[in-house]
Amino acid sequence: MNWLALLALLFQVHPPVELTATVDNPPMSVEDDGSSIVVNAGYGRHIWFKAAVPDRENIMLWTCWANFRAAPPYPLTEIVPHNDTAFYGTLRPGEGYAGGWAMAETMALQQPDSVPDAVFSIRGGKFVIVALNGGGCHWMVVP
Amino acid sequence: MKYLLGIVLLAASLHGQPPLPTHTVTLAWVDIQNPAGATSFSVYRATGVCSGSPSFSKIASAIVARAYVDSTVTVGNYCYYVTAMSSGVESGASNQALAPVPSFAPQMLTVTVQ
Repeated sequence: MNWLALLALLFQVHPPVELTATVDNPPMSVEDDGSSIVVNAGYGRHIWFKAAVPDRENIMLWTCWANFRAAPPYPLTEIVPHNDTAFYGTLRPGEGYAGGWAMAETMALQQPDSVPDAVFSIRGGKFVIVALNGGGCHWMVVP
Repeated sequence: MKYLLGIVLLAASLHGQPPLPTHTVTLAWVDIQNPAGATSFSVYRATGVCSGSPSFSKIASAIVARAYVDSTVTVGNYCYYVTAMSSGVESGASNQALAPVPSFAPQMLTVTVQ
């Protein structure tokens, strides 16, 4: 055992798990028809997102690919899964790795592999969506 | 002058070309044991399959998301693992994940019947 492994053991830094690699993922798309916003995450993907809800008129979403799972279901009515998309969520106040954001709530949307697309609609308010693209999370502002 | 015109025409023709498609490998992982917000991740990659003892190189570090898109791949097999970093201490390796990058399928197939 080298000294780095020993340090990791002492400080209990746990290795990530459930690493998956997907080749040639379709890009995430966002469509806004004026009354709802549809986010298509592509085949068999898992979406992990955070939503800061300072008030009901201004909802911000932060999205990324991940395999995060959480339970039990959290009924945020503005987010409507389509196509039998499984919807899970939990509240984790204070958790944040989207630097600079005052995250209030964390939820997770898990898309079963048997369903072609992870599609969900978001209604109401003004949205700021961040999509993973090219190795980082980038801003996408949806008026 | 004619050289300048040639350069302009060449630039115009290149500009009109559609971009060449590129392959990407999207990595995603789970980390629920380390403190959120204080953990970053590094990605290691080896060329070839995961069996045996492939030689890994670090291709990215200081990633805060639990995902990474590797857009520097070409046709072939790639093996990946990730590590977590917290307070300057790096974890052990995650499980390894294989990404076989195929050739692009032909497009615009047409059939002519006479």
